[in-house]
Amino acid sequence: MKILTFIIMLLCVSVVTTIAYHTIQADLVHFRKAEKYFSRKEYSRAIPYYTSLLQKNFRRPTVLYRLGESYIASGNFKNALHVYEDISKREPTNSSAQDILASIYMNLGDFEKAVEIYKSMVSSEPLNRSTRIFFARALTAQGNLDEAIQQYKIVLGETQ
Amino acid sequence: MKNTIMKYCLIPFSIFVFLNISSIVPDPAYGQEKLKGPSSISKEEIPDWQARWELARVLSYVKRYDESVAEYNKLLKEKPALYEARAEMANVLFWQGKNAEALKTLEQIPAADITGNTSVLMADLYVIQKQYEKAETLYRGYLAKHPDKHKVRLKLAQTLSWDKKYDESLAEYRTILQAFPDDIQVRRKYAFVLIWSGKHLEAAAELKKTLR
Repeated sequence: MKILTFIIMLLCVSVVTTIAYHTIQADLVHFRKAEKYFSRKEYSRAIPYYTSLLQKNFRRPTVLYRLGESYIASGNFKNALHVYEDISKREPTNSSAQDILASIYMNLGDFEKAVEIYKSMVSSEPLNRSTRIFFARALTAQGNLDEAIQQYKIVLGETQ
Repeated sequence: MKNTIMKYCLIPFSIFVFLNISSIVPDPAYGQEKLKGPSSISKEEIPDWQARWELARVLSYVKRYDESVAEYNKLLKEKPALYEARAEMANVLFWQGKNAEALKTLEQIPAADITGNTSVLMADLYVIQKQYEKAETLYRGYLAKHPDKHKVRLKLAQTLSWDKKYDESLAEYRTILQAFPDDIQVRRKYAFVLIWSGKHLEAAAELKKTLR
């Protein structure tokens, strides 16, 4: 009888602990759920969790990135733009975020802003050929074809 | 009795506790590779040939045709089976007025890869060279897939008439006129083919229609 009482008590403690954890650490539980959906590429299910975490000031750098990536993966470039603008403000030297921000502008047809970002990236990393090609593409889309040609030629080592 | 209780209660209890612990304990991966930031949208490495292809295209947009062709040639030396690029180069040569070179370029592409607008360009080039049969085959192949492209049908109708295949040409003209009965220019061309085929009365009637 004593053993049975003991086991029931243990079960109760376990249940109470779990409930308490889910209540006190709700953000972490949401984060885990969001990560689960993200890893399964179920972006539309992950987005509400990441959004709610940000609204609750859940500060993990991953959350913003994951939210941005989820928006891009689900084709919602307008929302992705807000996220990456936010990241860009927080981490102005993060070239990876700048790069994605520029590609979002390209997708949204705002070629001037894309050109502006790529231009700044190229001047800080002149040997990064991929960035220069993206810069050339943005210039082409913008209609600045002579400058685009110049950039392609630099990539191919054909400048005089 | 006690042992039985132990058996039946401890096993589910252990499972329950294990499941709870596994959901509570933080994933050790957090804060490590998961915190690296964007990963799935990383920039792809663009090969030189791809950049050269883009350069060749942009050069053609600004009508720097010689430079464009030079870039296409470099590209095709590296990627001879890049038929899309070969077809683009043929277009540039055509814009330059180098029709024979354009046709020669297109003839290097396997027939199965000559599709869509490329087949129309090739047909146009055959027409310029008065190789009407070859042009006809290409136009017909294109129209089989795009029966509503009446501009191409008009080219076929004209080619057939120049090849003295008047009845076939007239049939194509009738198809076009069915879709565009008010197109005076097409009706006049139709009337001329009627004249060439000796159907003067019909031709006169058609020409009258164009004068209203």
